[in-house]
Formats: sequence, C-alpha cells, structure tokens
Amino acid sequence: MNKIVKYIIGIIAVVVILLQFMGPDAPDNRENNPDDLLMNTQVDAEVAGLLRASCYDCHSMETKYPWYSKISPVSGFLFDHIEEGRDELNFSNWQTYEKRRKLRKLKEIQEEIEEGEMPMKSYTLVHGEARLSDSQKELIINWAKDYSKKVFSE
Amino acid sequence: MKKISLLILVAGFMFIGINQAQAQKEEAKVLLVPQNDTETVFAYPISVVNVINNKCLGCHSPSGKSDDAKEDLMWEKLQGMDPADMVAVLDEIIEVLEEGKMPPKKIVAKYPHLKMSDEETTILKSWAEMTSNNLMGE
Ligand code: HEC
Repeated sequence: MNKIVKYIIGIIAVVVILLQFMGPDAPDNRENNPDDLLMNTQVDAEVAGLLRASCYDCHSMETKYPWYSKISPVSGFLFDHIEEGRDELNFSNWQTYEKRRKLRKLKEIQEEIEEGEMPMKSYTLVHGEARLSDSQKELIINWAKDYSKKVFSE
Repeated sequence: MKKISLLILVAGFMFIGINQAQAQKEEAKVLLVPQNDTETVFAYPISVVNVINNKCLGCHSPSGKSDDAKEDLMWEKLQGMDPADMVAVLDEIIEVLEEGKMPPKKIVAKYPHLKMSDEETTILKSWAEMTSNNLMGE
C-alpha cells in the first residue's frame, strides 16, 4: 500500500480513538417521572406503545441508548437530537406544561406525523421498529385530536 | 344574547382599531378583518394592532416573501380557527416573545427599526396571554 495512504489511515484511526475520550456526555435520564403523560392520562394501550417505541427515545427522560451512542462522533449528533427533542417536547414533563402548551404540542404532534417529519428519518433508518405505518399514524393523530378536545374542555 | 353583544362590541373594537392603524400607517396592509359569523372572534386593541402592523405583518401576511414565515403564522387566519388551535398558535407567539426570537436577529440587523421594544413585547404578550385564557374560559 502507498505510504501516504497508510499515514492517512493511521491519522484517522488516532483521531477516532482520541474522540472516544473527548466525546460529549449523554443527556441524563431520570428514573422517576411522576409528570409523565402516560402516568397521568388514560392513553389507549396501542397509542401508548407507539409513542414509547417511536418518540420516547428523543422526547422523554427515558432514552434507551443504543450501542452506537457510545461511539463518537455519531454520539454527538445523537445527543444533540435528544437534547433538542426534549427541549421541544418532553413527555416526561407533560403535567408541568400549561394547558395552552399542551394544546400546542398536541397540534404539533398531529402536524409532524402527518407530514412524516417525526419520528426523524435518520432515526427510523436504524430503528426499524420506530417506523410508523399509515394506520399507526392515524391512530396517534386521532388520539392527539381527541385528547386535545379533552384538554381544552378541562 | 350575552355572546352576541360581546361579539358586536369586539367587532366594533376591531373596526376602530383597524381604521386607526390604517390612518397611522398608510403603507401597512392591515388584514385583521373582523369575522362576525364565528364564535372565535377576539379583540385586537389598537396598541396590539400597531405592534402587529409594525413588527409582524411584513412577513406574516399574504404579501410576505418568506413561505416559511407564512406557513408558520398568518395573523389574518388566526380568528377563523378552531379555539383550541388558536390557543396553540397563541402559545407559540408567547414563547417566541419570551425568547426574543422574532423578528429574526438577521432581519433586525438589516432593518433595526423592526426590533421589538420591551414595551411592544409586553403589549403583545399580555394580549396573547389574556386572549388565550379567555378562549379557554379561564
Ligand atoms: C431521533 C430523535 C427523535 C425522535 C425518535 C422523534 N423526534 Fe420529534 N423532534 C426531534 C428533534 C431533534 C426535534 C426538534 C427539531 C425539529 O423540529 O426538527 C423534534 C421536534 C418535535 C416536535 C416539535 C416540532 C415543532 O413544530 O416545533 C414534535 C411535536 C415532535 N418532535 C414529535 C415527535 C413525535 C410524535 C415522535 C414520535 C412519533 C417524535 N417526535 C420522534 C427528535 C426526535
């Protein structure tokens, strides 16, 4: 093999190894979540299962970190998504949201799913189980619609 | 009966507000048109109309150039909405104001007169909070 190619591979290997020590920390999980949506409201079991499988990794304090989350620089992207996702919508903090924020998040959930924006494509690429079929999408959208009516009239 | 008289009052307020704003700022396209046939009419006091006119309608109205901005918020469409949806939009308006996200920094850097003053932020935010509470019957 060409000497230069060897050097380059060597340098890349060293950088990747070094990155493993300098990578960012994973956003913390939380064990007790008394304000969680599913702990406080009666959500149809199927819908609850879908939310857990397709959304909770990024939108709750109960992220299940996959093996590749230990590997930098992939982990960096992942952690950013989780932080940003939790910031936008955190099912673990649901009860702390004001009524108007709940209404907004329920509306956004319908929009994001309808437009196929959520769950994120980069995520379902690896997590096949998080992909939503059309009928599953409809289930979540209808749940969000009904629940939003309930929240509004509370 | 109470509802109807409230509607008339509200529509009246809006009419005055819109006329005043138009008189003050000819070039602005005022689109906050009263809709008497819905239950979801609400009042825009003159002070609020002025802020919206001066700081928002450049983008969040049909003549705006950014499709993203129009997709996210069109002031004129707010009142025809379902009350729960309206509250959702108001919540976003409140958050954006709290975080100082609008008008976008880039735009403000280019057009400094579009910067929201503290007073304007307060006017718009208190109105959005009040309106959203009213809509939710609180
Ligand atoms: C891989 C992580 C990930 C997964 C899985 C995921 N999201 Fe998100 N979500 C994000 C990120 C990051 C954002 C913020 C950036 C954006 O809006 O694209 C976001 C934003 C949102 C928003 C706010 C959008 C807005 O209008 O501002 C909603 C609502 C949402 N997600 C719902 C869901 C739902 C419902 C699911 C499950 C069906 C889901 N997400 C799955 C990462 C994720």
